[in-house]
Amino acid sequence: MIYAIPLPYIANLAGWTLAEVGRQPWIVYGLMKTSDAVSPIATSQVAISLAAFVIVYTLLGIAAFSLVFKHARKGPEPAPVKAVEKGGPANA
Amino acid sequence: MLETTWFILWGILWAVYFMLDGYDLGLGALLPVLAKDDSDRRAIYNAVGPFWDGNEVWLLTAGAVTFAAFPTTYAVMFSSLYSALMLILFALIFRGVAIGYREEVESPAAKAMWDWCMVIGSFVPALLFGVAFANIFRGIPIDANGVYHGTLLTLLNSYGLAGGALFLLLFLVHGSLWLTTKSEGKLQARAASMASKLWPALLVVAVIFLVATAFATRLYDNYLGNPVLFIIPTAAVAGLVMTRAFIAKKAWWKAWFASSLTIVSATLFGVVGLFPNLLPSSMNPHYNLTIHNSASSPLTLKIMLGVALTFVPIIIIYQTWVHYFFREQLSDEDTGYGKG
Repeated sequence: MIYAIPLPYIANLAGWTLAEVGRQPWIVYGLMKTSDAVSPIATSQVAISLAAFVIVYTLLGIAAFSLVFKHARKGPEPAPVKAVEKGGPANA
Repeated sequence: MLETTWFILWGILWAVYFMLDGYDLGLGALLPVLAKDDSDRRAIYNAVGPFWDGNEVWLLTAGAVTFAAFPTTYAVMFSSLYSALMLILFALIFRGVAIGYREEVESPAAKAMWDWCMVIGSFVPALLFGVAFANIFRGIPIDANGVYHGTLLTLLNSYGLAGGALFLLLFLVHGSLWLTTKSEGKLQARAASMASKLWPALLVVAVIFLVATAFATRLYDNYLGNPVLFIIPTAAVAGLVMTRAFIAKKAWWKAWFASSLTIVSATLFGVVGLFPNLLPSSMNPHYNLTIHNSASSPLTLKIMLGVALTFVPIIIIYQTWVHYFFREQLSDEDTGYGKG
């Protein structure tokens, strides 16, 4: 059962990729070609920002997964007795 | 008329954004200076915890309004300021994650790492928003097709840097004052002393910026053409003086509201000076992007106006409620920020 956890994520990503790849060469289907929609920005700028996105999301992915695993190993906490006294968000 | 209405709304959204996110950016940047121990740091996270993401809604709204009402300006602005905006974006990502994750990690080293993400992620946008807006006031090198002929370094001219210093100091004072309303004892005393120490520097930079604006930009043309508008920069200066007076009286909320008046009027000072331009070209005034040559169709503007007049009041109501609801100092039990 635990191996089913990644499946919805894979389905989500695969579906998104299918839609994005499938509509090429259009950026807006039937109205505007992707090649006509490119911004007048230096290739180096786009390369740097793409690399930065990959690095940043990898780092954030590592941080997120290590937290997920940490909490998963801890197991569920006993239900807190403290009710939402002041009506605030119950994220304590 | 429709285009002017949208221009005014555009300016107000940016002004409110700077007033709100200004305090949490400023306070985040001051984290290592104001906090002496972990309980201070938690108090600072708790002071911005319930608000910072709501405050950033105004940034999304301001960006979205630029896109919906003035799409040409949006395209040229985001392409021209690409690297600067990417830096702001990455800073805001790290900051947001830091606020969320800091409470979840236990080791002091991991906490310290997220604290630094918070500090840098707050400092960079505070500075770069000022640099970006000063360059918009001054005009950037765009040609007839809206193609930018410059680099990131083009933006770091002396007027741009003065704008960056002004925004940074405005936000640092604003953030210190926010903490005075959300803390007590030594931490509050440190926040108050920080605000009064930074205030003279802010005054000097504000005067330099107002004078430099006369030389580097054409913002004053609108004011000289219609002198009644001078009430806006006057309000900014009056807010600055009132801030100092209320700090002396230890009237923290009043000082924060005076500081808010300064930030809102300072932003509107620039926006009103720009009118009817949204993005002036420093190459040739004929290449300026204005509310006339970059606006959406009248139908789009009409529909969007209906949407904005419905939802902006709703946002104002719920955000006012959140700020009122959490007006007292918050403990860890209230928020869960920084626990562990």
